[in-house]
Amino acid sequence: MTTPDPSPDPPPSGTGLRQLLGPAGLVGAGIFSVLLIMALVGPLLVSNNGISPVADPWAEPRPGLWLGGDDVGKDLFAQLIVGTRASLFVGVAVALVVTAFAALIGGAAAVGPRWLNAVLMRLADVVLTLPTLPLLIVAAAFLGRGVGIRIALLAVLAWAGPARIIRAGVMSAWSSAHLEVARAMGANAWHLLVRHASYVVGPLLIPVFVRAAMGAVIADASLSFLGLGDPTVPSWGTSLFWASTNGAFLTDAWARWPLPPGLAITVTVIALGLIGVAVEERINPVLRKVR
Amino acid sequence: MLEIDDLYTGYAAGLAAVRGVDLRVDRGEVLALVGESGSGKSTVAKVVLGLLPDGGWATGSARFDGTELVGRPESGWRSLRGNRIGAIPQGAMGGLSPVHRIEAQLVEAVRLHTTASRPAATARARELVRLVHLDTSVLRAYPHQLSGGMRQRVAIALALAGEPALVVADEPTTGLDLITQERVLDLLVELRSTQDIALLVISHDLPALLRRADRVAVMYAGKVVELRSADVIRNECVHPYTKGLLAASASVEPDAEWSAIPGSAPPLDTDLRGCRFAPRCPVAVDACHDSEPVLVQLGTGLSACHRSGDGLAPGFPSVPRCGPAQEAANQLVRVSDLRVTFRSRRRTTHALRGVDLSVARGEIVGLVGESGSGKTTMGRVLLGLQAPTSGQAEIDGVEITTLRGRRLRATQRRVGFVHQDPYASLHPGMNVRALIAEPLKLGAVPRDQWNERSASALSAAGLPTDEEFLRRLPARLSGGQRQRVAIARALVADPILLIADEATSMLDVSTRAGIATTLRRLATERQLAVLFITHDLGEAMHACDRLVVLRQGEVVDTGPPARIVTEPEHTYTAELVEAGRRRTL
Repeated sequence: MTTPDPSPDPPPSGTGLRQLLGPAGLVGAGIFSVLLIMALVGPLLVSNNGISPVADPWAEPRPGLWLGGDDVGKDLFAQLIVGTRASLFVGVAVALVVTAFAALIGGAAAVGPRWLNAVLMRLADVVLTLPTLPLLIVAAAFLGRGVGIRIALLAVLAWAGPARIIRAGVMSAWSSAHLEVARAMGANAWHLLVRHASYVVGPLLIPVFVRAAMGAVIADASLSFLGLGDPTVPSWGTSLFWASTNGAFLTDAWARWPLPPGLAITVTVIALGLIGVAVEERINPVLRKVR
Repeated sequence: MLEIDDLYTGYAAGLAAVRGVDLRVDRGEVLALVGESGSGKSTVAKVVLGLLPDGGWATGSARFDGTELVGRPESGWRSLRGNRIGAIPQGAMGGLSPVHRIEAQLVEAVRLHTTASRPAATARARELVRLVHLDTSVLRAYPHQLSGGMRQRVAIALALAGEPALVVADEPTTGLDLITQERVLDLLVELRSTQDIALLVISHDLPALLRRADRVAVMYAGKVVELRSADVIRNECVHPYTKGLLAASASVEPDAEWSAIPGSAPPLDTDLRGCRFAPRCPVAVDACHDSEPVLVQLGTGLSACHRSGDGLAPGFPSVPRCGPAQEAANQLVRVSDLRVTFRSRRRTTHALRGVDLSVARGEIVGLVGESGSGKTTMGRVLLGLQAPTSGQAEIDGVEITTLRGRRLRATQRRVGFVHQDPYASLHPGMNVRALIAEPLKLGAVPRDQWNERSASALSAAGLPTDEEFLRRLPARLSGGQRQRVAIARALVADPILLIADEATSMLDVSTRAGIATTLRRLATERQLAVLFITHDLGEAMHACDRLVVLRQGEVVDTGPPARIVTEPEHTYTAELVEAGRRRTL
């Protein structure tokens, strides 16, 4: 019926990253870019790759050996820098796979036939009830320690929640007026998805990606810390594992051995969290401040 | 009791939505504040209720019984709002709590605003429900168990809980059926005398308030342009805008004209020197563009117009009369015994129960009905969006109810669709050019024809075709322009049938007749068959060649508009006509 005062409240338009992220999100994006650059070019800047010993065991920090050496004299600073790549790689790779899975499964469940929706969503329910960490530990112990396997494992355990978010997004997009008009024009499902639903669902993928990356960085570090990662490839989790194995937490070396990788993990997760929360606040009408 | 003096207010710094308004509401008086979207009428209500959002500002004065309302801190509103000034906010019936019974909500409101004990508040709740003519059984109900009209009555009862002296009702009939609208307005006016309250009613619907208000203030672009006693305004109004508004409201009388005011209201930030209405005014002279007229005493009331003394009758373009009836041989759409049944676990809803319908080439058929009558479902079946449970629907000899996939889409491309909501039916990220080209893309029309066909569709819909306009996004179009873009989009692929589902309902009153005029021209020039779905009998009267009245999924009346109005065959049609007539008295 009549709605005489349709308030012109356009959704926050895509006039650039600045508007999408806001100040807090920009800070997060800044930190994350620094970490990414560190992962890409960091290994070129350190004199060794932190794998072979370059100093005395438990060497004290000195210029050139900024964080000192570990129990066999490997360069801890080099490990921190080189480890960035492995840690972030797992996070980004898992996030990519999870986002793709969530989009495909959620989209298929939303627009596909009813039986497909039922099958996929019950499957998601099952995955959601799995106890993640114990399962990861058991699976990592049995399936091996390769990076590929770890990424696959983390992705398989993380897709369910995001898929349900995407499904809800596609379903609400599917009932939007402009999509209905397009369907009445004789548009096929592909056109509807690419041209119309993507506009609504696209922004949802950003928090899905960021949250998956966050979860993966933490889970990967936990696995490595428990010794279920690859102990020969430097990563933040692996550094923590060796620090723990050698009892470095209880020695004077705590500030130069376990603390830096721990901080790096925290900073990464905080940066991703800032981005995720900022984007979510802007695309979720419930969280948007009433103006 | 309420005195507003020289009120300026706005939502953002430097942009005034209300520019110098003076109004008075006396004890026991009903003042109607009428205007279209953007006129500032709701903004005035927000100032009176202290509901301006953050960032909003107000200068000037608004006094309620001597208490200054402008610049009052939030804490100072607690003793006023709900207690002495009752509010029926826009969409109030949708604002009831879905998880509490009506009784609990009324008791809460009574106890919040008075010192009544719980038993006293419960007794008061019963009394309130009787005041708004609801049965006391409503007290045990949840909002979803009530109809829209009943919920609106509950909202009114809530506004009365604190025994206010003034009630501000912002669009109290939005979203209700015509017959229910009349009853709700009758109730409000009745409460004025039984409860001894003054009423400030904000509405876009001028005719509905003429019979009920004491005085009417017409607002345009942030200013009051006419203020006059309601019983004389129809005959004695001076301002061309008031005349235009009256002519733009479609009456059910077959002889009356239905006109549109050309153009659209200026945006807030336009810097006009003269009268804000001058660009749309048919009788504007140079003086109107140069200086802004002030509100002065003219006849029995106040008007702000330079040409007021001249006794001019502004001519607004009106919707052309319908043509001669089409022969049956030219039938394009044939629907017979169509049934649509929705089943869910809980209940079965019969949206359509055996509907017959036909539309000929060049004919505009009006499908009239209230919400829930099945009129939109009928449109969706013809658009191939809803599969019927049984029955036949044929478009140009093709039975569409059994079509699937590619063949269905091929038929869909020959049917144009204008959605009722111009704000949601245009993809917000596509510019006008891309929006218009979408059906061409889907129809695999060669790309070198796109520009030409888009331009022809745009001009047919009464829109400019310049590059600047083609690059605009929907957010930069007015409501009327959006709906015209939707019409152009529906036309560009040369459809044989156009389905307009409540195409005018969300537009400003002054622009509605323009859309109907465009549809009429298209039907005549392109021999286009048009199905005009509407809840407004008056609009259907003037826009259509033939009417089909739907009620609860059944056709209760069908025939030419003049016959429907003069000799309705069904009591429901008679009721609709009666409700429409009462508005124009």
